[in-house]
Amino acid sequence: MIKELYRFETTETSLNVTQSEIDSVRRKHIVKSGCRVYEAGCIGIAGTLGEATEETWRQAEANLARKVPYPYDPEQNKVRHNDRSQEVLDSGEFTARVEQLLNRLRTAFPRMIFSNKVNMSETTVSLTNDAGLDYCCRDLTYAVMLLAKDVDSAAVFDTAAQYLGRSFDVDAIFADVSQIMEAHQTVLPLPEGNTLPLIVESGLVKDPLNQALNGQLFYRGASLLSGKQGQKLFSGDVTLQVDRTPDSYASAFFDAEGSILPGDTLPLIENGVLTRPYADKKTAAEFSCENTAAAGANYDDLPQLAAPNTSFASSGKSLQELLQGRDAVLVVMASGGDCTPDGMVATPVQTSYLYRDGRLLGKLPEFSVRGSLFDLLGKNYLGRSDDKPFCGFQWLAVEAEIAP
Amino acid sequence: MQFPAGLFTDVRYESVYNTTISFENGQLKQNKTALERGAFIRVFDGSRWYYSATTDLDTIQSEIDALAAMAKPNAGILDHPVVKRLQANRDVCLRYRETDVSKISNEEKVALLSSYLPVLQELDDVQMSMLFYFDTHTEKHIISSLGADVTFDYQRASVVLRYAFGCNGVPFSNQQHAYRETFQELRDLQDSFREKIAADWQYAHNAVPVVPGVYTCILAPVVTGVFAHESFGHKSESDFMIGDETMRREWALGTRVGSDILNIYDTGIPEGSGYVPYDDEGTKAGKTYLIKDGILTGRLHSAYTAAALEEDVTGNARAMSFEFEPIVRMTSTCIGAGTQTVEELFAGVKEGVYIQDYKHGSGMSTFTIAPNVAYMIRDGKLAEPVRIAVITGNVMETLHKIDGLSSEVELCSSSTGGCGKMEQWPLRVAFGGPYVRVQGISVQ
Repeated sequence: MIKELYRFETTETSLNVTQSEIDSVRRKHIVKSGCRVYEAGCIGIAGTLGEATEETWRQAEANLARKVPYPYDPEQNKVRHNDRSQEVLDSGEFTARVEQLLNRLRTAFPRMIFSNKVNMSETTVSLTNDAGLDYCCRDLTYAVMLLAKDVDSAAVFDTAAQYLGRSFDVDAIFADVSQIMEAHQTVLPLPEGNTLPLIVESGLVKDPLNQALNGQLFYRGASLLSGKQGQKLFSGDVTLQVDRTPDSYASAFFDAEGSILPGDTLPLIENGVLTRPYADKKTAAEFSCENTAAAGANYDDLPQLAAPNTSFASSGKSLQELLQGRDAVLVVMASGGDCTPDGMVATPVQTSYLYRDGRLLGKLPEFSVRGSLFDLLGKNYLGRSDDKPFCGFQWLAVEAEIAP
Repeated sequence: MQFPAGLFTDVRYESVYNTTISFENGQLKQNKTALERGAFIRVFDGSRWYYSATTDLDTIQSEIDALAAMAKPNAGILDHPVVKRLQANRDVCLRYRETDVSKISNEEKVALLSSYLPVLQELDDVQMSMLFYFDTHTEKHIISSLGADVTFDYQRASVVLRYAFGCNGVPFSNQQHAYRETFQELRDLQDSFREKIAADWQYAHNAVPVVPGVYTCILAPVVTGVFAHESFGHKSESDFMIGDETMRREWALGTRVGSDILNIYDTGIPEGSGYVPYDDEGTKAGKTYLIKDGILTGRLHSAYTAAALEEDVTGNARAMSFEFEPIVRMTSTCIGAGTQTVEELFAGVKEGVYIQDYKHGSGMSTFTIAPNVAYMIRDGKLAEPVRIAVITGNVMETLHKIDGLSSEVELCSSSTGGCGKMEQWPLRVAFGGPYVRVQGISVQ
């Protein structure tokens, strides 16, 4: 019998902003412990909030009687610790810096009302067992998620500014937020044309890909991409990879089964060719495919196939170079869209700005975009920027059909 | 418990029992029972709130003391408008003690779920299937420095059948579910599931891409509920209006915001996934009309927002779990019944779209619904099934374009997912209403 502990620890200071002022401070320290025991091809799991106790382990062993199959070897004799934190602030200093940021925003943009959250979160996830596995990944991130509206606006909010990083540089964050707030003061018409270059966060195309690249759906013929492994489906500039590197804020270097990847990354789409769907140990065994470290689990769940964090590889050009001098639309908010089973993507764009030569010129009216997933990542794919010109993101540039 | 002087303090204890059992393609995949306990503490000094979430229930007093040390004692705290609105109810409302799902054996739950396996195994063209049993029994206990002492519970048990058809390269996924308050009510639903899945099979194998455009749409009750929730429910959450004079002016009660047949209300009283007898600051549930006969008549409040807008609390201060502070959220949000039959609604449509089921929705100035099952309407009759990515509309224009409501209504509970607002997702809510006919919806 092998005993394994899957443990999450979160320490957080969360500041709520209302009317551009901090109105609440939330402290959180939560430990979640999942005890796993492996025996005779089965797994027993029990979890508890707080540290695991003898009773938690006893319950995990008792749960072996439920005969939940898990005929895969737990990881053994592997040790790796990864601390991704950079700037470490205490709660008081963090609060002081956020107050400083809000003071500057209030002064610079007196017509804008800011709200929502600014968080400092320290997370440690570990997977250890009595067969020599000792994995631990720690991160400390700062997240600014500010909504903003004009004092004369009757909307719930007009725009948003966000930042995610491992340091809290007030000057840099203020400069980033200011670009959007300054552009927001000018209202511009939507540029002419049936199609426009869009500068988007990758979710617009990644969300449907997450479904289509699910190894279980893929090999069972229930994916849009089933039967297309090895085919060149997208632009040669498109490389989509599982990303467990420190560049990722969303995932540790190991998955919920302790699987890791060489260099913490593996392409699912490489130079436009569909190389492999994502898979966990079960999917890899069932379909004789590569395990891509794509098992996910809550602390007390059985590990199972889940979309891993993925990223598009940089095209090696700045955003400006990707656009080659063309005007484009920076999409700040596009929520509620979806993709049909045959790959047609459509979404309203609630908030966007006209981009020209590295600058945001003004706010655009709401509109909708649509396009085939294969076109958006095919003939209409412009690339992923090497630089991070707004909000700390490397942006994706695609051409899409516009529906005013 | 020692509550510090000059401050308002409350503590919310939560105990959540839940079971998850699943089969993947007929094989047992997960069989989990969990009991989670935690607490959320709030301290208010009249100008700022201080919160702490903890799983260590032996340290509540020290957490209170630590928060109090950050706050500034306020001799007038009891006269603060927020504190004045916080109710000091004392009640024990344990509705599900007798039918507590935690008292049902795991073997019985596995046996129940196994009885649904044939429904998925007998289908043609099912490439992937998942079968789930979920139950949750939640007990909350709220005490406050005002003397509140409220204990209440809620419960659900669900079976969910999820499946994917291959459909010759255009795969289709959907799920059917049964949400009940007790375990026993989940028996003998196989034929009902069979009927719904067979209809889905027909849809999946015959659907064609919709021609994008602007259409008259008829929404099924579950979609109506999402529409009410997304189009107007979120706008009624008054935390967005705090200190905002423009919003207060634009959203003055008495303003016409929709057609005169439109009524929308929110209530935590009915059983289902929106049942909230007390909210997470101990306010008793009520029924709040947001729109009556097309006129804005109310909005949703916590004590904080009610004080800011000089209105009354409504029982809508809710938190996703003990890890979060209560914010203004919906409970069961519904459009009120109309007078027409469903046939009469359809008869008024020359060419339109019937939205039968949905994947998700969103809403602020523009609402969106991503349909999962939809049909064209031609000459008042259901016609060919169509695939649609998203339907959208401007909230404040669309509410005026509702021109028909059926007398038949349904309140729908969710077995999976829930409402998301900022960092708190998913929160259990319910929604529903009649069949609704609305003009001028953009269909992509």
